Amino acid sequence: MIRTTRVCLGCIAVLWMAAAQAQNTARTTKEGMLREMEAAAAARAAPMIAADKLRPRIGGFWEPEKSAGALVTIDGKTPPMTPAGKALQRQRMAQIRAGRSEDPMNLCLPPGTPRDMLSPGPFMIAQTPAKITMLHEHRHLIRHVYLDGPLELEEADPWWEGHFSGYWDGDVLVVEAAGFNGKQWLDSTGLPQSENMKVVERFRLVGPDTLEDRITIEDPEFYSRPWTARLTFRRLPGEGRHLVQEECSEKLLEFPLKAYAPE
Amino acid sequence: MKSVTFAALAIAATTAAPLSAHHSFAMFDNEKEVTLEGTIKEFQWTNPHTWTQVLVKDASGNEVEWSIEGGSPNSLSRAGWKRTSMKPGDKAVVVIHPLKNGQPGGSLIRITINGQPLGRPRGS
Amino acid sequence: MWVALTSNRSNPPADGGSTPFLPWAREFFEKRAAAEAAGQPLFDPTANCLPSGVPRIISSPYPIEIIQTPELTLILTETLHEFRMIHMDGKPKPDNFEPSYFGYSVGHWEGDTLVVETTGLNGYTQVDEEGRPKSSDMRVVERYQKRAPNLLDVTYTLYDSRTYSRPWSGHAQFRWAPDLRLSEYICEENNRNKPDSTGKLRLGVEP
Repeated sequence: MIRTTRVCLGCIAVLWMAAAQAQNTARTTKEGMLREMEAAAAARAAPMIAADKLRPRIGGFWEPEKSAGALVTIDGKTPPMTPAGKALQRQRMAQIRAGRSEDPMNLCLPPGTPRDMLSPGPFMIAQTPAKITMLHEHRHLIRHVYLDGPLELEEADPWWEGHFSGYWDGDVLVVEAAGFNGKQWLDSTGLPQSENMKVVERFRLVGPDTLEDRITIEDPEFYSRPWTARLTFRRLPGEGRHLVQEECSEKLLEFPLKAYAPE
Repeated sequence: MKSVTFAALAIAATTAAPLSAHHSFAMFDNEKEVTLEGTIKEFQWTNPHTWTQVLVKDASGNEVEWSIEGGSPNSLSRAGWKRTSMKPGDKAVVVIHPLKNGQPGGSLIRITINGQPLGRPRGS
Repeated sequence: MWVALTSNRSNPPADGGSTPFLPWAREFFEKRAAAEAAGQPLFDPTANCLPSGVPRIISSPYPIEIIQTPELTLILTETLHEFRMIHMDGKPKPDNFEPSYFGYSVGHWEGDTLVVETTGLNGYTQVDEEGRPKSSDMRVVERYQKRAPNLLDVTYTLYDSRTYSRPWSGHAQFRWAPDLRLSEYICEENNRNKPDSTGKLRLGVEP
């Protein structure tokens, strides 16, 4: 059934303005409450700031020590897969060989976890007491790791990147991720993941300018046991460094971007 | 400064379209409201926009599939929506701004699922 | 964490005056308005999941997060998971900088106001969704100031003599939301409004 009516635009505008005005009045009387909120936030932050002073400094710019293709176990072997895992990867490799790759990265979808750490090019870690933020030039991926771990996921939307939570275990930053949509590949060879995958990464400085990431994958649907991969990154001088985000979607345009640009 | 803010809010309200960062909603007739009663065929809880596919009987009793463009999961979840807020077969009453070109599509204003209204995000 | 209170749909001069278009810019703007009136919006990079760029990103209606380190101020935007790097080291844009959507931003403090100057912008994006254009010559000066403990005001001034007959300013505002977290926003996931080969936005009717 379909009904049609006309909207009173003026009425909406007046209501909005009244609401905004009321909100603004409330705002000034709420001043004291806000000061209290600010003070509470500062009090919450104080112990985190104190603890942060003792942490290793992993903030700054990093790049992969070597370009990673296939994700392998820490002793260089193929990950231990279930028959379902093997079959899915075989199918994906066959599609790649036939020139019909269905790699979600080709559609500019985000690399997911842990594939974002296989990204070429530099990334930045912003280290703050309550949060570690990783910003990649490649696909302008942002990882938000709140230091409120261990991860407790109740009802969460499945995400490409998963949901993160982290904590410091001595000198090791432990980053846990779960709540994936299961659609991304773990690497360019099509290693699979399911919605139930759990990823734990352990970041630590193994030299003053070398960062290690030990990645443990647990996903019983596709892997017969949890397995661990290892990546390393070298520190880049930070001075004046600028990350220019790669805009993959330019490649998805059906015409040159310049064709419809204002200029 | 205050007057500036109010002016901006008033503009947002008069267009009455979702506060999109993605694309113009000028393909919709933002001065017209159409109420559809039908059955949910599919709910796409996706970025950059959610899409609600609704089966609605037209004047001659034929079932037509309408594509209703809503806010992003990000803004809708902050208004209390979930990806499970509706499922195929649910009875829906949907108020939309229809496409200007007459095709069966529109932008979501509000929706009631099995008699329960869902929350409305800011500005839409 | 800050929640946007303003939108990027239509950002004329904040003083209420008319937009000082040069002739080509007015023509560009009016062509878009006519297409919208006819129900067929024209190409816009954001409809193809590309960044809205500076200055339009300032008034994106999605939340932002600001992270301050000694060398950098980072502005993270939920929409399209973009980030801006504002260099606080006092050094100018490198000579070999390639124009980009967000350009090269240099910031400094004037009292309690963060002043950000951005150049090196590409000319692919617009000032707002309505289609106030810009050229790659545009220089943007933003002033960030907390007006109250929970209110962040941003005034931005646009200098672009190839597009406008005089500099003009816009305004955006944010509300503090300390417990909010940025959500994932993957535009490429299901973009039914992707522009077609003639640059017109698809209407999304095909499920």
